[in-house]
Amino acid sequence: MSGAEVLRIDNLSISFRVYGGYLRVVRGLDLRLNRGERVAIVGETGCGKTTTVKAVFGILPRQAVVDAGSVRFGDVDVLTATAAELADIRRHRAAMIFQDPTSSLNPIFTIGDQVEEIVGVALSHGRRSSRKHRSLLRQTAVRALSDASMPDPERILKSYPMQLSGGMRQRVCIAMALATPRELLVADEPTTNLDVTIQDQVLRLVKQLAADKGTSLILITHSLGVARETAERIHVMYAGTIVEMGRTAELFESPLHPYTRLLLSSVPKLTGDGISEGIPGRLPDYLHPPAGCRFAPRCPKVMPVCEIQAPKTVEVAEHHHVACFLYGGMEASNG
Amino acid sequence: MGVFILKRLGLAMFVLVGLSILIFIIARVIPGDPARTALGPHAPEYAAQNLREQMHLAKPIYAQYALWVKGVVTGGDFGMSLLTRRPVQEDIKELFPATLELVGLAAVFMALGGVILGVLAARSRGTWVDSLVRVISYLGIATPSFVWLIMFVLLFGYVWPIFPTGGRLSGGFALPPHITGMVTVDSLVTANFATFWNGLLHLVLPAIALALAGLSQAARITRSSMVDNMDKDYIALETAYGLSQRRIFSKYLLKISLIPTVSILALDIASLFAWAFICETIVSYPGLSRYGMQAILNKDLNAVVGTVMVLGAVFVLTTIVVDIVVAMLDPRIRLSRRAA
Amino acid sequence: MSRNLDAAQAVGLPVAGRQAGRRWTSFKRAWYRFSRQRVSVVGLVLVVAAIVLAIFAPWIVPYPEHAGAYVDFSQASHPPSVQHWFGTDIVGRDVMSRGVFALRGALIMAIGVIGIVVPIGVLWGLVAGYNAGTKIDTILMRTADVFLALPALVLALAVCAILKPTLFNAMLAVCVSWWPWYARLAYGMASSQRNETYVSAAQIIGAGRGHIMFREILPNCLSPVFTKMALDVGWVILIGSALSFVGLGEQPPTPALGTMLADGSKYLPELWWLAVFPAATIVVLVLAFNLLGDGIRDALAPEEA
Repeated sequence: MSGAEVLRIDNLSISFRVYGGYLRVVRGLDLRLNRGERVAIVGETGCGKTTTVKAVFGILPRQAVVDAGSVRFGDVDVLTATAAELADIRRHRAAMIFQDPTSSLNPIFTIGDQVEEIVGVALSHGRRSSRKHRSLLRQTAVRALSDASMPDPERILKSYPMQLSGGMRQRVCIAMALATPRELLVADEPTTNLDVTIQDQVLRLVKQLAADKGTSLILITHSLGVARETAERIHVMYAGTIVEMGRTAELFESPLHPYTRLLLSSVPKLTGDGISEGIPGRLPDYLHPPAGCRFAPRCPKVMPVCEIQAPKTVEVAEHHHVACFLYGGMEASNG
Repeated sequence: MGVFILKRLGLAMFVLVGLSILIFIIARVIPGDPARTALGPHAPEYAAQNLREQMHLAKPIYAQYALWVKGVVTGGDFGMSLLTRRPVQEDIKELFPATLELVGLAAVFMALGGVILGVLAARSRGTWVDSLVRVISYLGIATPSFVWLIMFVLLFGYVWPIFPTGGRLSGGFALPPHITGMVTVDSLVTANFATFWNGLLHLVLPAIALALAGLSQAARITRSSMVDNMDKDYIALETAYGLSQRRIFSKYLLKISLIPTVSILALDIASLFAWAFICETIVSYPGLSRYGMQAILNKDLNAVVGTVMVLGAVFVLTTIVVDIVVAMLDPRIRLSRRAA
Repeated sequence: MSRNLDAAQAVGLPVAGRQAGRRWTSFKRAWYRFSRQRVSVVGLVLVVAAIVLAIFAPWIVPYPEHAGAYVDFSQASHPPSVQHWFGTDIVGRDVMSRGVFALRGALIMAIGVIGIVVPIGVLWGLVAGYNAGTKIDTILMRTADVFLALPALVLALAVCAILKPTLFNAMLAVCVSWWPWYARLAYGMASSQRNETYVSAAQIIGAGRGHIMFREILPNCLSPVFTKMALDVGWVILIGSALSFVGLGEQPPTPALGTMLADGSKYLPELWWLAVFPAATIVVLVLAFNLLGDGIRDALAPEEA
C-alpha cells in the first residue's frame, strides 16, 4: 500500500434491504484518492454517491448490506475494522460535511456545545471539566470558526443554529470538519441547499481550507460546473458505478462515456445553441436492475452487448478510465 | 425568559378568573333550592330562610359572584361546607396535601415508568421488547384507572395481602406532626420510619392505578419521538465524528426526544386529580378528591366550587410549569417568541 | 366569484372541485396503507361490530327483556354457561344481554359528544387561526383556554350531580370541556397553513374568506382531526363509564357498563363474572377505538417503522 494513498475503494457493492427484495444501489465501484488530492464525484440524485461515502465512515443505515468489495482508509480495512480503528478514523482522520446544514446541527444545543464536543473527541479527551481543558476546547473552536472566515466567532459559539443563516451554518459545519487536522474531508453537496450567491464563497472556502491544512478532499456534487471549479480529478457516477474518471481538463475536453457527453451538453452555455433537451429516461429500478450496463436504456450509442454484460473499466489514457463497451471492456464483467 | 414567565402568569390569571365565573354560574344555575336541600325537608322554614340570606341567594347573580370573589380574595373564604359544617377552605387546607401526596407519587411513577419504557422500546425497536411495550401501553390506555384499582385491591389486598386496602394509615399509626401535611414527607423529616413505610404502602396501589394511563401515553410518545430523532442527520453526523453511542444517546438524543413527552405528562398529571375522585373513593383515602366527590354527590355547592377552583388552579399552574420546562429544554420556543 | 374560479380552473390553478378527484385517489391510497396493518384492521372490525351490536341489540341479543326491569331469582347468580355466556346477575338477568344494551349508551354518548364538539371546535379554531395575530384570534383562543382549564371528568361529575344524572346531561358536561381541544388543533393547523402559497393564490383570484377557510384550508387539516376523533371516542367512553361507576350516568334499570362494574365489584371474588365482563367490555371497546385511531393516523401520515 503506497504511503500516499489515503482512500482505496475496490469493487464496492452495496444493497438495501427493503420490503420486496433488495435495492442494488452501488455496483462494482472503484475509487482512489491520494494525499492532498481534490477529487469530485459527479452524478444525478439517487445514483449512490452518498451511500458510497457513508461506507467510508461506517454510517450506512441499518438496511444496508455490503455485498462485495473493500474500502481501505490508509492501512485500515474499514469494512472489517475494529471499533477502536473505526473510532480512530472518525475522530482523527476523516470528517464529513452533509448536504443540509440545517439538519446537520442539533437545534437545541448551542454551536459552541456541538463544535467543542467534536473538538474534544478529536483531541482524545472527551469533555473533562478541568478549566484548562475547557478553555483549550474553546480556543480551538474559535480558531476553527475564524479559519472559516466567520465574523465574531465568540458570539456565534453562544448562538443556536436557528439564529444563523444557511450559509453561516454550512460554514460552521466546515469549521467543525477542519477544526483539527484530518487526512480526508468529504463534502456531500455542500452548496446545494444554499443561495447561489453564497455557493461560490462556500466552495472556495472548502477548497482553500483543505489545501491549507493538507487535507484530501472528496467533493460530491450533481453539478459539473462545481466539480470543474474545485477538483483535480472527476469521477462521473451513474446508477451506482463510476462510468468515467479523468483529470478535470481532459474530461471536459474529451469526454468519452456517452453519459458524460450528454451531461456536458445539457449544461446551458452562454455561447452556443441555447438550452439542450437533457437526457431522456430515468435512473434504473434498483430493485430489478438491468442485466448489462445500467446506462444502456438511455444510451444513444447502445449496442447489443450492452444489454447483456456490464462493461469493465478500461484505462484509455493515463488517469483517464472509462467503463463502456465503446472502448473495450469486453472481458468477464463485474457483478 | 423572565418576560416569558410573566406572560404565562398573566394568562393564567385570566384563565382562572374565567374559570371561576364559569363554575360559579354552573353551581348557581340549578333547579331547586340549595338551602332547603342542605337542611333537609324537615327543617323549619325560618332556618331555611336564614340560610338563604346567608348564602345571598336572593341577590342577582353578578352580586352573588362579586361577594364570592370578595370572600375568596380577601380571606380565602369559599363559604361553608354544608356537609362538614366547616369553612370550605379549612377542609381544603386539611385534605389537599393528602391528594397532593397521592398524585405526586402517581406522577413520579408516570414520568419514570413512561420514559424508561419508551426509551427501552425505541432502543429495541422492531424486536419483541418493542411489541411487548406496545401491548402494555395499549392496555394501559384502554383500561380506566378504577378498573385497575379494583383489580389491584382484589389481588394484592385480599388474595395476597401485601398491601393495605384502604385509608391513609393503618390503625395504630398516628399522623406525624403537621409540617407539609403529607404523611410521607413529614414522617421522613421527623425520622419516623415506621409511619413513613406504612403511609407509603397505603399510597402504592392507588398511585399505580392512577399512573398507568399516563404512563402508557408517555411511553408511546417517548418511543415515537426517539425513533423519529434517531434517524435525523445531526445524530448521524455525531456518529460520523466518532462520538460514543452512549454519549450521543444520553445527551443529544434524550433531551430532544423528551420534549413532547414533557408536554403530554403535564396534561396527564392534571387529569390525575380528576381520576383521583373515583380512586380515592374506592379506597376511602381521605383526600381532596374524595371530598370533592362527596360534595358533588350531596350537592354541597360551596365545597364543589371550592374544590373545582383549586383543581383548576393546579391545572393552570401545572401547564405553566411545563411550559417553562419545555422552554428551558427547547431554545427554539424561547427564541421564536422573542422574534415574534 | 364563480367566474373567477372558472378562470382559475382554466389557467390550471388548483381549485376545490378539481381537488375532489384527487382526494378520492388519496383516500384509496390511505385505505391501502391502513389495511396493511393488522392491528388497525382489528380495531376497525371491533368498532364496526360494536356499532352493529348496539344498533341491532333488541334483535340480536338472546334475552332482550333483561335489559329492563326484569327479575327471576331462580336464575340468579349463575356462572357463565351455555344459556348465559356471561352468567347472570343477582336478580337473574343475563349479563351479556345487558352488556350489549349498555354498549348503546356508551356509543351514543361518545358519538354524540364528538359529533357536537368537532364542528364547533374546528370552526372556532379555523376562524381564529385564519385571523391569527389579530384581536379575533386573541379573544377566541383565550376563551378556549378558559374552558380548557376545566377538567372534563370533574366537570361532568359536577354537572351530573347538580343537574339530574342523565345521559344527556353527561354529554353536555363533556362537550363543554372537550371542544377547546379541537379548537386548538384547528387553530394550529390553520395558522400555519395560512402562510402557504395556495392561500395567497386563492386570495389573489378573489376567493372570499369563507371559501378559503372551508374549501382550501380545512381539507388540509382533516387528518389530525380524524385521528383525534377516533381516539376521543375511546376517551369519552372511559369518562362515561367513570360517571356511571359512581352512579351519575344513566340510572337503573337501564344498563350501563360502569354501573354494572360498580355493582359487580361488590361481589368479588365469588361472583367474578359480574365485574370481569363489564370491565373487559370497557377495555376492549376503548382499545378498539384506540387501534382504529392509530391506524388512521398511520394511514394518513405514514411513518417509517
